[in-house]
Amino acid sequence: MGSQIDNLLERYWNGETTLEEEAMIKSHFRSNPSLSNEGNYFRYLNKKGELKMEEAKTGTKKKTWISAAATITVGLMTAFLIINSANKDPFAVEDPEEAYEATRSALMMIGAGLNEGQTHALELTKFNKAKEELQKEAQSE
Amino acid sequence: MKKYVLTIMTLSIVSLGFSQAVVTKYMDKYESDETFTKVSVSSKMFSLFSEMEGSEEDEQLFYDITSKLKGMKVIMSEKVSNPKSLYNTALSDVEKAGFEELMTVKDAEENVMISIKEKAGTIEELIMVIGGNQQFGMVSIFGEINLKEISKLASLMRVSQLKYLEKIGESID
Repeated sequence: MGSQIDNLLERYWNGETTLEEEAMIKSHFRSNPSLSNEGNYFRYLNKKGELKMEEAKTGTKKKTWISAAATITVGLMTAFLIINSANKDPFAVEDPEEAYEATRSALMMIGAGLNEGQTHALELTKFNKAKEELQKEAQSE
Repeated sequence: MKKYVLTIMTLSIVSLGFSQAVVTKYMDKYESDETFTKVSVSSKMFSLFSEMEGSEEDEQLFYDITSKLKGMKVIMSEKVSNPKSLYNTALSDVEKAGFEELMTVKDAEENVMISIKEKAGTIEELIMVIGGNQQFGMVSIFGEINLKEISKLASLMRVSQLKYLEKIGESID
C-alpha cells in the first residue's frame, strides 16, 4: 500500500494522475490520518472540494447580484473617501463669509479682465450706461 | 463586472484629480511661502452662498454664477522677486495643461491672460494669470462657466461700487 501511494504521489506531482487516481490519494489520506505535509495538503483539498459543492448548491443568481451590489457599494465608498481626502486641501476657506468675499473679488477680477479685453467702444457704452443709471438714481433720490 | 466598475471609478477619480491641477501645483509649491496668499473655495461653500438671500441684481447674478461652480482657487502675491519669469512659466504651464488662450491684456502696469478649457461647448475651467511689476497671481474657477454672466457681474459690481461712493459723497456734502 505504502509503495503504491508513493508511486501515485510521484505521478501526482508530475501531473500524470487521472481523476480516479487523485480520488484514491485523497481517500487514502482521509482514512490514514498521517501528519505529513502531504497528508495535510490532501485533507485540505478534500475539505475545499466539499465547500465548493455546498457553495454551488446554495449559490443562486440572487446571491451574485447581492455580491455585485456589495462590490459596487464598497467601491463607491472607497471612491468617496479618496475624493474626500483629495478635496481636503490645506488652503480651503472654512468661513463662509470669507469664502464669499474671496469668490466675489475673484469673479470681479476675472470679469474686469474680460471686460478690459473688449473694445474701448464697448467700454464707453458701458460707462455711459453706468452714468445714466447713476443719474437716474440721483434723480429718484 | 467588477473590472468595469473599477475602471469607471478610476477614470472618474483621475479626471477629478486633474481639475485645477495647474493652480494646485503653484499652491503646493509656495505652500510655506507667506508672501503668497492662497485661497481655495469648495463647491460646498458655493452651495452655502445660494442659501443667502440677495435682492440686488448683482447679488442675484453672483448666486447664479456660483451655484454652477465646483471650485475656486486663488494664489496671489504682491511682492515677488521675479514676476516676469513666474508669469511666463505660468503661461506655458497653463498651455501645457490643455488650456486655450481667450485673451491677453498688456499694459504698462500688468499683463493679464485668461485661458479656458472647453468640453462639448461649455467652459469647464477658466484660469487667469496676472503678472505685474511686482505682483503675480493666478485665479482659477472650475465648474460650468458662463463668461457673459461673469463679465456682466463685474460691470454690475462696478456700478454698485460707484453708487456706494456716490452715497458717501452725498453724506459728506
